[in-house]
Amino acid sequence: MKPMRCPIQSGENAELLLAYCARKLDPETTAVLERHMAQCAQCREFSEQQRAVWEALEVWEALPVSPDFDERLYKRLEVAGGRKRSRLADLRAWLPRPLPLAAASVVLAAALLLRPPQAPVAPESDQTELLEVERAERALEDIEMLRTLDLMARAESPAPQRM
Amino acid sequence: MAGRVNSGMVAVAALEPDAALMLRVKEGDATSFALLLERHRAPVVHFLYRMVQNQAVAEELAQEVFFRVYRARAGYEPTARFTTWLFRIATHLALNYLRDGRDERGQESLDEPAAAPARQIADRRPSIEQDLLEQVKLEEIRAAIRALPAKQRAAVLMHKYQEMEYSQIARVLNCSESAVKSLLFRAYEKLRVRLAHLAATG
Repeated sequence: MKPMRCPIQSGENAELLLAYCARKLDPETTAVLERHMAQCAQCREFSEQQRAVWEALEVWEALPVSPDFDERLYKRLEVAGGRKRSRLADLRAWLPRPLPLAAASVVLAAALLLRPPQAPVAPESDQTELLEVERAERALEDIEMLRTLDLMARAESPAPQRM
Repeated sequence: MAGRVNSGMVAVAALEPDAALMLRVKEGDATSFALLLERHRAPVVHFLYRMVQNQAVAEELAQEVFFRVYRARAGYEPTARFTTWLFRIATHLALNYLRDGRDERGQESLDEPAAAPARQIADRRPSIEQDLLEQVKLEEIRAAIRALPAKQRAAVLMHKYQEMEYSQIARVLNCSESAVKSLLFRAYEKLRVRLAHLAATG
């Protein structure tokens, strides 16, 4: 392996020393750098001091995030014009816990009852089929939304997980 | 929904789960936003906390970060990593906050060291003396970071605590990779001068 030019004196690859001290250097380059450092007091000293800094910074732990962080954010988003979220929040507040599944059934029944009569002529049947598919999809989405609301209502945490 | 996303975006999203989630947020999926929030809430708050050294301010700024992410969802395109975008917003807000001098309100009273979590030292309770030494050490570290120019501070925090590559830090700070290396080198040099003695005290 080719010997390394001194990262400090040459000003080249100085980041290798930082990576070495952060233990992020690949084994091959580590070996080359360590061979150089064995003969370079300047790099050795740099490395020792940088390691000390790196380890000192580990001491600084961040504080835990407030438990109401999400709730505050969602409230702010709601105020800022999240109309859909607002509706969902109103629904969530209004619905007693056992109701969402019953409501889901009502939505499904309504979707089925409101289904238009079978198209009498062939050219319109494609469009009718598309409409029915869309209606069914919407009904399924509504059911999913109500299930979500039910889960949210049961959640212990005060912070809402959905918008 | 996914069918409306162009193939380039899908390619990037396939590489990056966060970008895929953000594309779903763009399509109106609130659950994906909740997942992104869950994943990145703590790293963003912690980064901002170390930047401004005040927990309440850090949380307020983090609220603004996620608020902006959500508000910008319609125009989102996964041209870079999601975290690059996220930390660009966070850094921008923190730098503005520091630039406006709003951090000169007496950090000690707002974020007293007593609020910091006590470090667990092996299985024994640290003595009062050890505890005091820890607090002094911690305050030295905080002061050393605080003394760095804001951009150097951001670079060090992203490098040390977010473990970002130089290239990503460069994109966050909107500068070249060599500029980031230079920023970091100068910042660590200052920290070595101020903190190297801590190695001896353990």
